Amino acid sequence: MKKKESKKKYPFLLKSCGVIFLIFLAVSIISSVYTRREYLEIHIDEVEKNTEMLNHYAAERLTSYRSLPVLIDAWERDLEVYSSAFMAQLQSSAWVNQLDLPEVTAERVAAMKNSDQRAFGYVCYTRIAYGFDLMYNSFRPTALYCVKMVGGSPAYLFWSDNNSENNYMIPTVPHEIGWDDRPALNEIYASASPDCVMIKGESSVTGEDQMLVYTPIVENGTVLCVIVCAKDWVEVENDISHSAFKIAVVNVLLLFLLTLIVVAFVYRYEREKLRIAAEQQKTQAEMAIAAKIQSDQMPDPAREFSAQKGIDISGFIKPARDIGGDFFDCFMIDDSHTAIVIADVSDKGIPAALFMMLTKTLIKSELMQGSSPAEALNRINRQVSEQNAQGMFVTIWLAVVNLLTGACSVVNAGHENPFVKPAGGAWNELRYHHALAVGITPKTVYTDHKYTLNPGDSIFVYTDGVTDAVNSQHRRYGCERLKAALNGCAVSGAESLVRLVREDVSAFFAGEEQFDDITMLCVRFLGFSSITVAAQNGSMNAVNAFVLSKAETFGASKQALKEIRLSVEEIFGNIVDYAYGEGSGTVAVEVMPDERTKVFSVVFRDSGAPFDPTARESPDLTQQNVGGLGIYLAKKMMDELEYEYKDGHNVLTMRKKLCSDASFKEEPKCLTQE
Amino acid sequence: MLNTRMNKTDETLTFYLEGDLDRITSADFEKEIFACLSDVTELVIDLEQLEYISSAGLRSFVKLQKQMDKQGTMRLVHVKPGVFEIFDLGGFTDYLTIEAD
Repeated sequence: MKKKESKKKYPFLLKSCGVIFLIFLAVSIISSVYTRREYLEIHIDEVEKNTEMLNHYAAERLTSYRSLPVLIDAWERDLEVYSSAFMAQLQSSAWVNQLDLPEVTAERVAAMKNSDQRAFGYVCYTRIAYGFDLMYNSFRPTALYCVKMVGGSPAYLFWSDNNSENNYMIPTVPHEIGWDDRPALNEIYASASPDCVMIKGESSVTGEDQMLVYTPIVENGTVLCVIVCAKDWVEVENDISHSAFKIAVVNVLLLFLLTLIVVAFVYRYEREKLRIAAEQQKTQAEMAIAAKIQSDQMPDPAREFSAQKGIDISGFIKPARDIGGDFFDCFMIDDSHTAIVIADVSDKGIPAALFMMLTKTLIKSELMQGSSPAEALNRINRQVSEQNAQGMFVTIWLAVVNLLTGACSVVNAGHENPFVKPAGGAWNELRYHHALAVGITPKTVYTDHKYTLNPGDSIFVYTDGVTDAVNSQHRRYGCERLKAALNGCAVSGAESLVRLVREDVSAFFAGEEQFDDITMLCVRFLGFSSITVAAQNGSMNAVNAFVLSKAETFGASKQALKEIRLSVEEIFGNIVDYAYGEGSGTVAVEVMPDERTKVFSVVFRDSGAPFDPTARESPDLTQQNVGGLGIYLAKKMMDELEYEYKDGHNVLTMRKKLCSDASFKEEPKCLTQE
Repeated sequence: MLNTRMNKTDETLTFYLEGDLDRITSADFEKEIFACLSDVTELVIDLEQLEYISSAGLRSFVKLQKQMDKQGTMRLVHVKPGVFEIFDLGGFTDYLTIEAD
């Protein structure tokens, strides 16, 4: 199973091994054949030259003797008597050794005594024969000899070959080299030319090709003798083949070794590639998990903060890589306080992500324990700065909002300026003094800035990935464009706003690779939109205060406020008086201002006995307890009064349109610093 | 909030109301004024400082009118337009003696 797997893993490797080896083998065979032929040619050439050279040396050896013609005659005559007995007899002829033998002239030899002449001839012969032997051993031809034609038959003066035990011995019959020299010698004698003659042919003895080089020694137009050098081709070819074979073997071995090395490298490369791929896959899988963990850490404001909680939050985060250093967070600290955080760690990727998780956890932990934003950052900064060898830091914008009052405490630790929009107003950058980012120095002191948010006020915070986004024309997105984008949004909902800004940013740097993490967070403060109170007169003031503050924020004029107050009192009073009889119960009062139609609606829900107060006729004023008077007044004050019984509840909705009121056009109260 | 002040000379009672007359304050107001009505033949209620009135306040005046019908007269004086509007809406301007500013 494992083998199969590995085969599957290395299909390319196996194929490549085979192919590489076959290629190398073919190259090696071709090269060895080529090498052999090349070598043969070179070697033959070399052998011819060597053979000629050997002939030349041998000839020189002979011709250096000035008395050569006399000597040849003497040798021819005395060849048969150069026996061991004769040599012993000549031991005493010490005088010969004192002569400079080559310089002895023919005349001087002729003047010698007959016995001296013979001794001289013999000594010269032995010297020359010795020289021939040396030359033979140096050049290793098949045979090296000197021959003279005597009466149409060759007489061999010297002979050196591999078989001759004693090169001094002058055989009367030539050694078998499988060659009849007579035709060639006859021709040389006839022409009496000093030029070399080369003959190639087949030896009758060995059956192999042979080469013979004849060098005539000519004096005064007479051929004295001929030096012959024979070279057997089989030897030459064997030499060559042997060398070529050795070279081929070495080549094949080298190539095989090379193949092995290449295969080893390919194998290692493939294995490394697989390992890296596996590692990459693993890393990618881990990164995907890390990214999931990180994205799971981002709150889902839509789920956690419905309008019921009095605040509308929407966030968006898109890391440049799988994971990033940006984050936002929003959570309820208690029933009435919400924390809102946006932060940007000074790096990207894993280091930033780790730092981000640390910061995020610390912030939440501190705030949940009741710290104010400044207290939280002071503690976190000390903690982070002291253990921060990497010199990382994080810019943080942190706010805690009281949803009942709109009071909020904000700290800006080196983060981008937020954009704020008062209800009904325009978006503007809020500039004020920032403290240093968290993690730079433990000495930084953070202080809370106090603001009051009015219902309808919005805040937009973001990281520099938004404003620093660069498009293909190398232009930054920038704060101005962001401001324009915000003001261009015809919606006030946080989610739609974030989506529109996101689309604008994407459109701006379309196609360009995202360089930095992009994070944005929009918060719209609504205040609580509903309260639930006991159905008793004592709750009246709370209900009034709640509804009127909403109406005021929504832009109701003093007159409208009075009318709303009267209607609320009448309707609420009606519920107190009739809904639960002698028992007790609750009333939920919900305010629903509609920005688009400018209709201000208040919905009263009670779970008392079904009763439709709007169905009553106009009151009869003559009665002591004028019934239905309150509802009658409310009807007059409001544009609409609608009753329905739904899901076990009396639901009474009063609506008033506010846009016709001139005073509504007054600039609403802005987000102001206290 | 409702502040009251009164001025009694012989059988004339002048009652000053300041603030809001709603379902909470009207109950106290009724208690207070009915306690002083024993020998009053002319009741003058000054609403110059009254900012707000609801049906509960209206009912208080209806009750007072019915009582005064038995022992004398009642006049509402210095009624502001905003408050007068409520009296008018309820059709009380014919039933009560209202002197607007």
